[in-house]
Amino acid sequence: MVLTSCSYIPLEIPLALGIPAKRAFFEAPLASCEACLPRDFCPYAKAFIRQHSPEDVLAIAGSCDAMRRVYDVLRHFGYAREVYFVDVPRTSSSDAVTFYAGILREFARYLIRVRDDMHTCSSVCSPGYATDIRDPLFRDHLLATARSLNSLRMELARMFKLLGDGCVSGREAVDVALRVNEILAGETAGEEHKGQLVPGEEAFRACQAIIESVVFRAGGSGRTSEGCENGKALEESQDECDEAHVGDKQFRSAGSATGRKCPGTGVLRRRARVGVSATCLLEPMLVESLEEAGLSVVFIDSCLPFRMFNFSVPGLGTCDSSSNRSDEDARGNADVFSSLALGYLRKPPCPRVFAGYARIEHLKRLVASSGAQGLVYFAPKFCDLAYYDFAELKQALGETGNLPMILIEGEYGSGRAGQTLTRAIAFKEMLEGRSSFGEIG
Amino acid sequence: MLLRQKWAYAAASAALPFLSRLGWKEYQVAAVRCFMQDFAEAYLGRKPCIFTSAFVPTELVYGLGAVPFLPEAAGGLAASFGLAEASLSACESLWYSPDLCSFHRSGLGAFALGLAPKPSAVIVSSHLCDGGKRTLFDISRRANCPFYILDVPYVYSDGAARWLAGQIESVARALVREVPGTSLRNMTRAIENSNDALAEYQSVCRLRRNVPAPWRGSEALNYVVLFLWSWGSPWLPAFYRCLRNHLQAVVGAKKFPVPEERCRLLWLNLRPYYETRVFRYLEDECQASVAFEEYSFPYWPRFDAQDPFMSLARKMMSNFGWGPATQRLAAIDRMVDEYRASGVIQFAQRGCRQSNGAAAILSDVLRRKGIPFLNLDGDGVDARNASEAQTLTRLGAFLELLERKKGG
Amino acid sequence: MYTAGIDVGSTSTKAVLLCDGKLAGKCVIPTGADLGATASECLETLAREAQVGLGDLASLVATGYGRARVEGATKTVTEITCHARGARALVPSAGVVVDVGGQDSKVIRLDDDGMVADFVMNDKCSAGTGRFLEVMAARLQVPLDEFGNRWRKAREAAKISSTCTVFAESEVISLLSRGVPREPIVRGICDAVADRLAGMIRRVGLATEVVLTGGVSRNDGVRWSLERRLSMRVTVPAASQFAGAYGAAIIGWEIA
Repeated sequence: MVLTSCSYIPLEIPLALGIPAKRAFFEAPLASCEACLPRDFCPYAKAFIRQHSPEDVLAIAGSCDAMRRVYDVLRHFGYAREVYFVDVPRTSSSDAVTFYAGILREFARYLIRVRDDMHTCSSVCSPGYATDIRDPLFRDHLLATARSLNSLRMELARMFKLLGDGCVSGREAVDVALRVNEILAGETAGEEHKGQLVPGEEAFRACQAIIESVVFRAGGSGRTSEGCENGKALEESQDECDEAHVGDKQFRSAGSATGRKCPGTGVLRRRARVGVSATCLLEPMLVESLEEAGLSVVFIDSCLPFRMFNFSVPGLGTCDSSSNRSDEDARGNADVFSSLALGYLRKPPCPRVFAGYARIEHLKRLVASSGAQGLVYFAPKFCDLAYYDFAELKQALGETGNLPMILIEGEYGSGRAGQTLTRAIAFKEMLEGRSSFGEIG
Repeated sequence: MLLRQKWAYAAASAALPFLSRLGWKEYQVAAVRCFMQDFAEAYLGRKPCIFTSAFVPTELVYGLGAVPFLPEAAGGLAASFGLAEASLSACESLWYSPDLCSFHRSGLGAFALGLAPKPSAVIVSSHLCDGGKRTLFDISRRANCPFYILDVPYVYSDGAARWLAGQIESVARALVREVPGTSLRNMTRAIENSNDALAEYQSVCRLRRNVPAPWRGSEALNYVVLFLWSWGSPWLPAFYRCLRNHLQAVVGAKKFPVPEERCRLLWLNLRPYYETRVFRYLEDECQASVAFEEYSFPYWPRFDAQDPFMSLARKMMSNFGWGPATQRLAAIDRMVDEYRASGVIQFAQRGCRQSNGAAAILSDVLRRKGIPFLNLDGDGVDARNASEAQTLTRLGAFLELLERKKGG
Repeated sequence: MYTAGIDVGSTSTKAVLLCDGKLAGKCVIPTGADLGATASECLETLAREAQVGLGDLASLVATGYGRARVEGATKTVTEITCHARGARALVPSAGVVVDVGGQDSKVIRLDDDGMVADFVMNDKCSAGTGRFLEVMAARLQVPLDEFGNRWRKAREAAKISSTCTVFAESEVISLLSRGVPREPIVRGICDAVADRLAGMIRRVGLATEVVLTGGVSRNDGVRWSLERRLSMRVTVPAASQFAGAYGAAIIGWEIA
């Protein structure tokens, strides 16, 4: 299986070669990783040490100083049989796209070599897959995979739009994205899909079924939030009395945080709407904690899940809604690697890229379109890019745009910590006091 | 502020000759003179001042007829002038985490306090670390000036070098369009200046291989600022010539700063730039010589003046701190051999993930080579993050280890 | 109508009783291992001294890190909101509230209506907290309540560079071994805490009136150091230690 370290590495390439692939989300780092990496290192980076299977291929992007060193450590100490460095550009000019297309071609060649070396493992090397990237069969597979992933991404984007309407909780959205990620890796597609080529239609259908079930439960077609009647009822609900102990009681299960109607007073109160931004949410727990604290999460600008799926690869000849594609692109004749490079490099910018003002503008748009009243920024401890990103956003959105923001630093498991919850509740109290929240109810 | 006063430069120029009488060496006076010239151009607005991150080739800036300013290096300077507390505090008030590298925080804080000149533009590169480019982006935002990015590919290939060369040329041409007072007329001259300086500097490096070392490492580490800041300047060849002459004289007269070298060290990363006992302890009390420093290593090939942009691209891509750690390890291995180091110390600058992240690999590789390695936790600018007592204890123990090893 | 607020902090538990919104009693006891029992004991003492039955309380609002352990609380509110409300009630012109407790410190900026406009917390390390002062006091063998006197006697502050407790402690040892008197060391320690707090204050933005609350507010040395850092007067209200509990009681009175 190919495990990638960055949402800028297209899963389409390994998948089109018949190799299961997913974005790597490991458990908390092992204590032993401090023998090879400093203590003051990003926990996501440290988690890459010794938590994968020996036959996995680790595709590491040079996302940040920490991940570059993780690549070195993995190679030097032989912690992984196969480690590949994907030189993802930090810019997205047309030259950068051309460069990245070349990098992706090399990545595909490498994966073919690795796959063929591991040919004894039948689940990895399936007959019917191309052995050369110039093979028209490979192009067809890559195109088909990219189109399928585009469809999946569109489905997920529909679900993300329902966030904050009380239909879908942030925790649910993260869980669904994680499940889709797992299914692409062929891990949890279910018994009936075992032995299928990955990515088989079945796997994609399984992903779609999960997304659709959530969207359907949320209130029908879910194409827009207008169709979400359930949600509208749910959104106006917070029991003022119950609120008293929010966060101090046992955590409730995912999805229950959308609120309830107050039986005592009949007063209906809306929850404060917050966006979440992060370099990388380490786990879904933080989102759950925010919702348990009484906040409504309206977007999650993080690798997990928005930036992993909230975009579309243009120029694949499908009926995608990309308006700026050329006629040639529309016919699907453009080089698929170039399309992938373009799609991935120009997806919503993450803090690791040199997006400059584009990143700030992206957040401003997210805040405006979601109606977020505040922004919760999660920084994995010692993640420098998160620290810089927060300070830039704090100045651009917080101080000049008057958007309340809070920084929550954490490690694996700290989403549940009392300190995190205290901050979240204090932030909620602040938003309520600040926007004369009572008037809404 | 003094640096913005014309009379201050006039007064300082007049005072320069007296420095020699106070015991200053010729190269030291030359360095002050050179920096003063550039600072005058920048602070008095005589030339466009272009801010860059630490490893953007300054030949590009001099080649455009501008003067460079490196906020990260200036962060170190602020510490040496006792201004770190104020600059770090200013940075913290801008919501930057104290867990970030203090060179960047101090540079940003110094800018926020108005201690830096006004930038005409900002150029950053993706190498070597994340902090520099983000610090400079903030500065460009505050100064409302053009911001340019050089995206350095991680692994060398001809195609990668061509892409980078294209970026450098585009940035140069954009600057000429955007920043009054810049032109490409000086580019060849800057490239030639850099080549001349490199030739002189290589002689300096050869002299530094002498046992005992002819130059204090503690002082050489101060000149890293100049090493980062001045390539392409018209005065750098003369400065290195001056330094070469000085070192030749030291070797000739056998008047070495650490005459009885108990051990020779290779120093990785930077040093504390505030007042500290560390080097007095090392060089004077323990007679341990810092023979060479990683950041003084001339890693790039001579430039082709006919192809300046490709030359600069090759310089950037040949930086051994960028790319897989194997490159840095190879360079360190070479430095250990060339400078006959018996031990290696990495100053583990707090928050410097790119360097500290390789400590375990360095330790492993050097152990196999039979060279003891010390990862010395510290902070080059923010004294609050360091404990001098602990630093000296660790250094002492490391030197004892080296002694034991020497004694067999 | 009686309402109460209780602040279960890491070092001490404070409770305040209001009668029709006016202060009717207060109580402070050290926080024990059993937070619930400590809270009950504190409330019982408060009620006994004020000659009020706990059943007569129209509301009880709990705050502090042990707020969830307070039995019978009508509502829990974070200490950020409570300190803001309490400090504004104690000092009507308060613009920034600095609450330095045993295990964390908080800086809260208030808007014109006395609501929380922004806040920043330090709980990553003990620098800038009561715990830092306790460790240093133990090392110096100077009781914390003597810090003010010692600070005043010092002509200048010894430089304590580190804000890390471990590093700072080794600096203190080194200063003592060099024969530096304890007065300038005390002042240096207060300066180190004040530096940390001043950095946090600058983040949220300085206001015309800065109010110091929490257990450390009783330490005059820290206040004077902070005043020098900020070049302004720092107000410590008479009941500064009770600001959180007072704020909780006020919120309780509003909802009762």
